[in-house]
Amino acid sequence: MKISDRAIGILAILGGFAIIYGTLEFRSIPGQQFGSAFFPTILGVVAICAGIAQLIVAERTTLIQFADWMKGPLVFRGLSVVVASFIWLLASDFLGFILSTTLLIFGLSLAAGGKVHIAALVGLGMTSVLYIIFGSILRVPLPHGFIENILL
Amino acid sequence: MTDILTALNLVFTVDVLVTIIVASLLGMTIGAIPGLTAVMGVALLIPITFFMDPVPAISAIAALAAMAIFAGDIPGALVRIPGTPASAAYVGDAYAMTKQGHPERALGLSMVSACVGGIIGVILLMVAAPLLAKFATNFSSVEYFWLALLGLSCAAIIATASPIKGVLSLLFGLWVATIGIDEVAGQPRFTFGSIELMGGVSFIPAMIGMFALPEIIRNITKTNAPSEPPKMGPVFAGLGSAILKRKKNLIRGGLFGSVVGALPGAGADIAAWVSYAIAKRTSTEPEKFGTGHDEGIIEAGAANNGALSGAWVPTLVFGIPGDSITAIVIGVLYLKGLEPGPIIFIKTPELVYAIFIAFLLANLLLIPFGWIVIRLSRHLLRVPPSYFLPIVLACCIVGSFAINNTAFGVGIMIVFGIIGWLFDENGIPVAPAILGIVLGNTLEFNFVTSMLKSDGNPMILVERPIGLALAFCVLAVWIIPLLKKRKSSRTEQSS
Repeated sequence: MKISDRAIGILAILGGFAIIYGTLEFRSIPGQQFGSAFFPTILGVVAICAGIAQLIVAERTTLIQFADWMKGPLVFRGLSVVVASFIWLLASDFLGFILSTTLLIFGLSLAAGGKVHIAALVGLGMTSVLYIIFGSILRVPLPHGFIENILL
Repeated sequence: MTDILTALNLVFTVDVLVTIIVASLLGMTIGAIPGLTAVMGVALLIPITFFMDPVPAISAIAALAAMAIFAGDIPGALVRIPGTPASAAYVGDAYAMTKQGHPERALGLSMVSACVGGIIGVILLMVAAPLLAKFATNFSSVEYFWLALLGLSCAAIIATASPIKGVLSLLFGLWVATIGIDEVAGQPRFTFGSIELMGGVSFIPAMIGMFALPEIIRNITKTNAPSEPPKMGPVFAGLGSAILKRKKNLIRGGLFGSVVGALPGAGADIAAWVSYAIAKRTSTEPEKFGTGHDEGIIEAGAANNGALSGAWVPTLVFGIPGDSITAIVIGVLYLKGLEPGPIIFIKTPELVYAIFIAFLLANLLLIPFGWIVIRLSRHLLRVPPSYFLPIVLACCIVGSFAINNTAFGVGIMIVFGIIGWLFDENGIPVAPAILGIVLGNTLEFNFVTSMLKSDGNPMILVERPIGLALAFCVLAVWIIPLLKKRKSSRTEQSS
């Protein structure tokens, strides 16, 4: 997804102003010349300058150009990566690590064109490996669900 | 001498050696799979190193990176898809050799070149780093400010195709570094009311997201059918005489790569491309380049691994990363309570020597492990992306979770992954943003400290000779690309 260089310049200028606006509520320290707002304000000013420079050098192009793969069914593969990650984020708390990660690998393998039985095996196998490394050896408190309740 | 012996004791333990071997195998696998880069491999390793002592953690990173950079040559030579960007410079020659029926020759040459280049880089690291560290003990906040700015400027301006986009990426990283509670004033900055953001944006999930997620999306949306890798002959047959014939290229590539790697912001990719160009320019048979000629493979192959070691010089001495991998290393050193800079050479010299030894070991292991992976490469290249990409995503998720033991890290990884993908699609380099996140606090701290020392007089920044010299270097980094652009546009107009 290619955004036009001019739009990037405008976004940078807006970003710069937003940073400066965000610093306005920072309280200053009495007797202190350089407070919390000092450095972010410099960043904001430089972002505005860089945005203006980008606007000057940018050529006129379409606002947004989609890559070829984004115009066909492959877009669902690309989206599946982000969607699967978000689902893991939301569901892992009650599904637990083992089930949510197995489903993530299984679902994504299928979305990417894998075969059902291999995807299921890879999902189960890799989840077990990750659980052993992080959950058992490194003692990371991975999300606990009903499968973990049965197994452990 | 005692420090070296202590370092040897630190490295030659079962834990460290097993860690190096496992990390090497992981690096070989990641590098040999097209699309997975050394930086991404290191990013995925970090959550595990989080639980290790400093020596095995740093050794694992060094071993994985060296192996992955070499293994990146394998898919390049066999199916013309460079495994890592650092292998792209000589992929034409390596693939041409394969088409002539000698894939083992291309891979054997790059394996030995990578090993020798890496060792030259380690020697430079061993000689230059302690000397520079001695010199750097006189540095004040002013010099550190300029050094940080120099590293960031190199990454944003020199190492990118579009300097303005490089600067925008850098500014994004520096802004992210300001998120959280300002330690001096106790003021929350840009936290948007989130309690989790009070501690700042965790560097590791952000980095995993920015490097790994775009690569997963890019690879999962490719439709190319995997090509059948060719059969392999004996790797070592005739290798010695071929290398001896090109020893000049080998040494020059290793030295040049190490020096380029030591420049902040440059890296293995640039070293390989420039070395390939030098090899071609100085060759007596430049017309043979691109047709399966060995000079470019040897010189650029030595340069990219030399650069990998060279990049550790500014990292260890000044705390300024030489490339994206060492930017991650700085984050790891801070996590381990070790502040990179000259003091690390005084406080914990045994640790620095241990890092040197681990590096040397990793480069020596390139030959046996390289041979194994070359023999196995046909099978590695057959692994379908539909199975390994979901595994990589699962590793990213569990790695991001493990840093703070919260799903918030996974959220950070996803958000930064989307931002990284947008950056990638629009030609905005990701590395300056990562360097900005890593060095943002150093830059701000040293700048504000210097200004406070001088009661707001900016002349303090150029009062000391080293500060002044560094200021000129920064100025040159900003001005030279502008002058070059102006010159090239004038040439275009006149022609």
